Amino acid sequence: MINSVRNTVLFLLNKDNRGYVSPLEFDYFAKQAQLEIFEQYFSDYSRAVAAQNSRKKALNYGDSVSHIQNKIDIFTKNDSLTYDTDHFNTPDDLYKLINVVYGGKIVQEVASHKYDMIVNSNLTKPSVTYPIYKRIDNSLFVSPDSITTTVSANYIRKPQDPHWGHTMLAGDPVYNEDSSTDFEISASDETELVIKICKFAGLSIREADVVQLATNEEQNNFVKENS
Amino acid sequence: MPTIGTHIDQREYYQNSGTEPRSDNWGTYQYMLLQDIINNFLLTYVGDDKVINKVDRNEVIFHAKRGLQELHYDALREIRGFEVEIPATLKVHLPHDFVSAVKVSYVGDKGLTYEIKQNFNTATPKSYLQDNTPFKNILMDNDDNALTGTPVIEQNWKDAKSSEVREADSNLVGKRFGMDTASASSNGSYVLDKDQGYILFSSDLADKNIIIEYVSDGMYGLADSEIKVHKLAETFMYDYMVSNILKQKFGVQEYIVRRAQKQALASLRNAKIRLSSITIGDLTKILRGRDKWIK
Repeated sequence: MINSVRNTVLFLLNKDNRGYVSPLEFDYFAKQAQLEIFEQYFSDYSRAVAAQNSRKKALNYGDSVSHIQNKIDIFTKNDSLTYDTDHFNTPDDLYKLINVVYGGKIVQEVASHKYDMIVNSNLTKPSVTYPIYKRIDNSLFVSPDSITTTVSANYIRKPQDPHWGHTMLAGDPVYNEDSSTDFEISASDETELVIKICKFAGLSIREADVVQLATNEEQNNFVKENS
Repeated sequence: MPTIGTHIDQREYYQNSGTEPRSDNWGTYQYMLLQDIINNFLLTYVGDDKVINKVDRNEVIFHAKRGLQELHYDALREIRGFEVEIPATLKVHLPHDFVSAVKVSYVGDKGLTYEIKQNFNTATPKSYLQDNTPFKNILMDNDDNALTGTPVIEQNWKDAKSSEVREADSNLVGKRFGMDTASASSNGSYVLDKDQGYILFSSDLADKNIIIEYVSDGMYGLADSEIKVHKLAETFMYDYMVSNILKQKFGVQEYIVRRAQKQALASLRNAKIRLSSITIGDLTKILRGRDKWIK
């Protein structure tokens, strides 16, 4: 997908491929555009759920909730957590934690200010059957303290940075698939990727028309999807 | 530990697969684990397209355990027995997991039990030690706390003869037709002191074996993975949790809250009826008494 996106961007900017968007610039713009769309998935999901609950969504082809879920599910991952003195460390590629599991049992996340109240409650005191954790920065403090192993996390990882790999041929950059890292977001978002990269490129080359066009297109898409 | 909530084969059920105690799994099929109810609840009743869209698990655990306690007090009546011989002090401590007494009785020679009535005509106060001055000042220890001793009432109760303790009211001696039928019993009596945690028996029950039948809250001494609920009360548990979670959730329409509360009440009634085990056979036997001739 990355080569197709880059070609479209270059056509739209009406420049030749040695023009104002170098491969290095494209990589930066592509990374930024992918992150924006990725983060938008989550707000889109919330809106879609709200629309579904107010009976504004159809089943099957119109089921945008499961459509967005499928887009996000590509990034879900399960990994064991490492224990360090009194806490577990979160994975390096963590974007959003879905849940933490200990021996098949869900470890419930609790707010730090509620942690001690729950620990001291006679009815909700954590046990190996109902363990809890509080998160401070990248550390998870699990209670009861006896839990020091077999804790894993289901989480959404960050997307990998896209890279348009190339080799130089007669002074021109030519696409090299082997050294490239493709976009990880859904292929259905290709148009949006192109628009966003055009916007960044337009900003970079100070082309107000391009920025205006891309911004308008984004707004139109937003209105269409949420009307 | 008995296996509850998962399938076991017949050998494991009847003989615990040869492990002692072999009766460990008897009757377990009628129960399910509270942790399964909590998991089922979170899976089925909570979600984006449900009335309860989000709730912390610790809140669900809280309401589940409270529901179980209510169930034990109201409907389950899973009555526990505690047998002990009455000591010379006539004072017996309450069982460890005691919540409320159902019946107190003593064991007769033939294995039958004889109900002992609670005595409301006496009390078990705290007795403070006093000096011999005309003011009868209360004595204090070195930490400025009042010293206590055995109440006079307890000593008198112990010293009373059998014939004396059977009379609830000395004014009624010789007037049998005017006696207080609520307390008239030749089986002795007891005073229950919940605050101090003991039962004081009348002297005519000395050396007898007594049975305290009581209800607990179903959670004493059990790990979270061992707390069980009777299957006939499963629906009540879900409805109780829904009702109590919705009741304190912000932004839920009143009609939804009321619907949930009505459902929980109906489920409680239903659970009571189911758990009371009244069958048509029992009713027929009771109603046969109508035809008895009274001369």
